[in-house]
Amino acid sequence: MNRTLAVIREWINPDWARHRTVPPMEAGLRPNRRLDEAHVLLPAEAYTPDDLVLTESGTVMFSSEESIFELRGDEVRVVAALGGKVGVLVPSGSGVVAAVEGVGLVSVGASGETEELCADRAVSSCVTDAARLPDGSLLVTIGSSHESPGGWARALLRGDRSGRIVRVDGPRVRIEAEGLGWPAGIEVASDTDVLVSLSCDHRIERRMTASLGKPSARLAANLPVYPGRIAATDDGWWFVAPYPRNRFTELLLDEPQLASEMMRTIAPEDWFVPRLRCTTPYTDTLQMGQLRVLGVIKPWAPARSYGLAFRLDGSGRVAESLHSRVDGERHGITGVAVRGGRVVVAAQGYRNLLQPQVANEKAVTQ
Amino acid sequence: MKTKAFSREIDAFPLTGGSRRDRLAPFRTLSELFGQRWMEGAVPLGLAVLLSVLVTATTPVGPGDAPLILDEATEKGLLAIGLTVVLVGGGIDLSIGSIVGLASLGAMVASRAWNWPMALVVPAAILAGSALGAVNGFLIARVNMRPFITTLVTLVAFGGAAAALQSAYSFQLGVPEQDIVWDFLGAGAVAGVPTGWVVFAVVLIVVHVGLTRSRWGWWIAAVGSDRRSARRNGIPVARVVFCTYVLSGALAGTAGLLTAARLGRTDPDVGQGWELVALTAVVLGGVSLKGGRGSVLRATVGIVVVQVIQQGTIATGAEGSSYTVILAAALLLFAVLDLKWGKYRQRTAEKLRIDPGRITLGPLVDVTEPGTVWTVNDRLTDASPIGLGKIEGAEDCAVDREGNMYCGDRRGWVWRFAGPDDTEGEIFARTGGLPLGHAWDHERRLLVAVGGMGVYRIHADGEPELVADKVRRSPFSLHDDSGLRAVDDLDVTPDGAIFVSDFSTRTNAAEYMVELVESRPNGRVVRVDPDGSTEVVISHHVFPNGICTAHDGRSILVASTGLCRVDRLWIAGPKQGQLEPVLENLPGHPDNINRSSDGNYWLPFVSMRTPMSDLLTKYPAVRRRMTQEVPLDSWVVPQLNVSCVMKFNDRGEVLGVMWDATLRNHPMVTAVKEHAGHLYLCGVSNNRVGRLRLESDEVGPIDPASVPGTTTAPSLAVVDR
Repeated sequence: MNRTLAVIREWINPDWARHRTVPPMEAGLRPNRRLDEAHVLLPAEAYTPDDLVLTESGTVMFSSEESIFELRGDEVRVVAALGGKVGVLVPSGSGVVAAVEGVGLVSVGASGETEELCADRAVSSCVTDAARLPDGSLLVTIGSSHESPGGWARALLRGDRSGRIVRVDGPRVRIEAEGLGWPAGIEVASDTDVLVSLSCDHRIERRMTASLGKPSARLAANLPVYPGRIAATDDGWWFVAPYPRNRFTELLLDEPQLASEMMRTIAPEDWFVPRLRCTTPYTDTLQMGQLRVLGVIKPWAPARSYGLAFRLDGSGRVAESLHSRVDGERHGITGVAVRGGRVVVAAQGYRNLLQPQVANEKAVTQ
Repeated sequence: MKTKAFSREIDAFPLTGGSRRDRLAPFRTLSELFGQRWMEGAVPLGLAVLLSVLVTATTPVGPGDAPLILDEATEKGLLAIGLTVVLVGGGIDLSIGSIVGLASLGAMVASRAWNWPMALVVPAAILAGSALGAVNGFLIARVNMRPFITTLVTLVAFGGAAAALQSAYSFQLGVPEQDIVWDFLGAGAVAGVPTGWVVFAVVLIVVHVGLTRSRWGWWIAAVGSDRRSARRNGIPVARVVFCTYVLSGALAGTAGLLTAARLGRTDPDVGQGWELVALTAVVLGGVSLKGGRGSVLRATVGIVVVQVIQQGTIATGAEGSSYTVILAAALLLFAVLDLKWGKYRQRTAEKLRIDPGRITLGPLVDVTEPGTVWTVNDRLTDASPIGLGKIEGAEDCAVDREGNMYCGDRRGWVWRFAGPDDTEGEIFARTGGLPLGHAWDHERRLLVAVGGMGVYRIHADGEPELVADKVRRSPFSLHDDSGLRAVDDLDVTPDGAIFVSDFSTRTNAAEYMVELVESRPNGRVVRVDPDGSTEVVISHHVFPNGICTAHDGRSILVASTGLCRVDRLWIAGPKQGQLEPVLENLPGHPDNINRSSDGNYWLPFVSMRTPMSDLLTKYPAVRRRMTQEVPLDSWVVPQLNVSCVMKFNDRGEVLGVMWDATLRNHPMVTAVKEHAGHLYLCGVSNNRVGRLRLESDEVGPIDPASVPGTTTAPSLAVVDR
């Protein structure tokens, strides 16, 4: 009935129509090929990096499946196997704190010694990102209280709003914010506030550390992507976007009956939702723009998977961005780390680590 | 009288598995209705007639008032006719009320004060009206003044002249004068019909015929629609505009004469406010105020409605002023309606044009599962390219005995590649349109189904000759389906007839994706007789695409891209005219079918079904939203980027499947042709034709290019199946 009413309203005056739209990638988000041209740090298809940290000595520690690896020069070595899918990594001294699915937060030293930091139920599942506050405690974002980290698509389709921000101070755990739409990234912005990226709301917010329950300011809204993890840098913050928004998915989200039948009858990898990578064309449906015409797939076709990391400056303007478009395959960027002007991103979809040329790394030598 | 080869066309709708209700496409019917030209005036007119019915039902106005209403309607109707012509020409004439007053007063003065003979007074009154109209016309057409302000000024000026005339001759006007002509005009009758009515009827018919059937009328409509275009097309715009005002003035003069005769007296109030009455009438009748569109017949209905309303107000004893108020309100309402309806009609028709339907497909085969006949492989990947980068979109090709390959191009060309090693090629023929299916006829001449144009035969010198481009329009259809616009594939039968698929009667050949999304039985299969006559043999088919004469020449195979199936239409033998299934529930959307040399058939898939695209076939409403709210590039369609070619036999068994797993060289194969142990792979959006060497055990002795049943083709018995 509401739809009929909306159609009539639109017929009477098109200005009254309200549709979910995806804004174009323009201004700072103007597409380029910088991810396609980036250095590849790992052997092809060997790992599935999820998140990474850059240590002071210049080594890269990254999480892949159930282990943490260390990349020093061209050599990759296992630091620790943790018995559960490893997600976010936060630097901690010379080692890292890792979120392990089904376990909780685990501290891992540079030489591989592990120590369980917190195994509370609140942080043992679906940890999406974490940030260390100046007082030493950790702020952890939980994407959903019902889903595993791989359940992002289901959360999106169900309109899941059970995401949380949890403060972990040693073994003590406090839920600071609830009812969020898949918070996917958190990073300290200043002594008093943090940045939170809300994936399902396509929004980046600033929240006071003292009152995390409500946003204090909106840094960016209605992004053309679902934002993810954040890394602070001298002149702003690097964000990754694991998934692009798609106009048909927006339509699908507005058609609950179709969405629920899709979830019920079709295998999750064939759902029409954004994903980290497109693997089997034989079961994947096509959008008209993705048609290969005269041997070429146009790069600006609607994307199911995309590679994007972008830097916001202090005012919330996109200062620069790194892209891999539909014709590329370096998609599904889930992690980013910055140190001394060196930026490395973890392309989970492409299954590799990428080190692109960025505007503020010119002084850095390899 | 030629007897039809098929006693009746086969309705393929039941193949969709839909109910009777699914046959109807209500939104599309609405769109077609809105798209009709006559709808523009029909809606305001219908509402106006409804209004008059309402008035007659609620007031004491009845059939007894008809003569009075008609009397009034004839005089004001003449004004309405003149005003309609002016409006159609893109102008407006407000001065007609004053011209009526001046003409009627002038006629009285001429007759009573100056004692002119009536034989002079009658033409003089009409001429005087024309002259006043010519003043308007001169100012507007020559001096280029705005019609509205010009005629407003002349309205006041002519009214002033009438008042001056009245005061100068008021004494003489009071003396009544008997004259047979006055009586005839005022109260006489022709064959029992009052003179005024006869005059009106004659004027109405003449102007209607002139406006709709003469060059002069078309010029007026052209000028009213778009002055600039009219001028650029050589229409003398100024003269046409001038003429409309002269005509309007002449009709106003005639109306004035009739009024004077009927009333037998006159005063300066005659004609006052009539321009508003006439304007209301034409707007009620659906004449557009923006110019270019309108009809005097509808304006006449409008004037009758207005007079009914007037009679209604008189009959209920309401004050005279309330009539003006009602009139003004009606004018305002219908002017708004004219604006909004004119604006939204086309837009609505456009929005509702695509009306997706529901089709039911069976469970989907998983081609990624290893070890089945469908399992993905690399057979097609290494096909050597022909015309790489030169060809744009060869949907089909044909290979002659010498090995020359002919293929279409989306730019409206047919290429020829001389022999297998020619990579340069030459443009063999320029057909225009979108050349799709290719086939050879009995005399080994090339037949091409040209999308958007029809079936063409191409002679050895490359000269295209039209074979067929239309069928009989189906009765009771708002939509004109007589053109063969989306012809796709064709084949020739032993008796020399051509069977051709027309995948949609609605969309153009280049918009095949609309058909994929709409999934409605819009297509048909047409038989073109050797004498050139055409008949529909299968109607209401969903995206019929591939057409292939069976090896025994007694049936043709018809692939339905939308329904993922292949059916056999018997053209000879005991089952002639029957449709029976060969392949059902295929994992992809089949395209052109062609014979293979070993007595089987090649069938490529234009796209493969996916779980998501299958699910969407069950949700027509979502697909409608998709076509309206999401740009074409984001429409969800089946997987078009993969290539799959299958071989099947007459019993409907799948014998083998070939893929290009890299998806790079030959995505979307739309046709395969076998020749001399090689397979030619064509793709409607590819930039090459692939040539693939077949294994020797895949090749048989039949020439797939020959028409089955002709002497050049060995009979089936030779082939060991």
